[in-house]
Amino acid sequence: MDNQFKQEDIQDKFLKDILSKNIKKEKTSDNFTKKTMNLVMQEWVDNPVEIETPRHGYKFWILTGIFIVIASAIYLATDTRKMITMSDIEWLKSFDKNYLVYIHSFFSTIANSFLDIPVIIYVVLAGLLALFFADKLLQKTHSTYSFLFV
Amino acid sequence: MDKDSIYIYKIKQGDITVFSELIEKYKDMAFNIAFQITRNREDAEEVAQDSFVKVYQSINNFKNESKFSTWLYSIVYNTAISKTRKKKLETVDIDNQYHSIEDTQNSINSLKASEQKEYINYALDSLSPEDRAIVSLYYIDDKSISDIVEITSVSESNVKVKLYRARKVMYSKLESILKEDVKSIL
Repeated sequence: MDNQFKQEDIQDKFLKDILSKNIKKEKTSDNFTKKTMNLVMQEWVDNPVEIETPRHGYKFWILTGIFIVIASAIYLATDTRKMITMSDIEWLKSFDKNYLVYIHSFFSTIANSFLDIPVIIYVVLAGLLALFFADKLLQKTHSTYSFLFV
Repeated sequence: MDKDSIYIYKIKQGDITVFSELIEKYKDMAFNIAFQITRNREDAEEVAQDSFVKVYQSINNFKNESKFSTWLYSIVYNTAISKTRKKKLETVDIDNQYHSIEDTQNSINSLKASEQKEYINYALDSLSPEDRAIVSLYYIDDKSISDIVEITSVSESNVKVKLYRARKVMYSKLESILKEDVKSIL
């Protein structure tokens, strides 16, 4: 077994040595760049690369995330309605009377209707969402080499 | 940010002229790998050109997750393999017709040749285009096994097996041609 490994090692070194010594690097023809650029330009005229302009940068998403987390934490951890009705601030009281009461009742109705939906529906939805995101993730991973699958 | 990433960023922003910098930088590398697979200068040049056009077409898919050179290698490799397969289909009759003549000529040439280079090319020619590409990437371009896996999409164990077999084939070819020369080198 050792002998076999030794032999393979010798062959490996021998080939490495003999190939690197004898195979010279080939050069393209003189006008290769020009010819290739012409082809690329032709392609550019036919199908220009779409300029990537992200709609929102990562900072936007981070700030939105932080806002949602803080808002949810305040909403879940405190009795916001009670706090507002007990407040002494005049403008907040009038704002509550004119707008917040209606918004609160609207969201309460939606929240109550969600509570009526059977748990199995949520389980199925969670499963579908997990599959969707897993698919997105896989697509993203393979997108760099997508030309191989064409 | 390395130079390639800057070039790619500019191309993605619509500055197509920068593409010539990428061509200039990688043209010989692309041509060499294509030449090792096709064994023909004209075909290799065509493969290299097509590969650069494919790079442009899918530049938005390149996400800097791997090196640009590795990505380009994989495009050149696949384009060259497709080209050899197509060519094999187109010329199958002609090949069969002149096979014996070509074989004889090769044998005569290799018998008369005194340079190692000719022997090596003969040994390389005995490999399939896929195996030749792997040998070339490993022994000539000094690519690691993991790089080859990424370029060729062949599994790691398969790359190792192909290298092992190619080594055996090449070595036995060289041994049979060179005979005493190989023994004296060893």
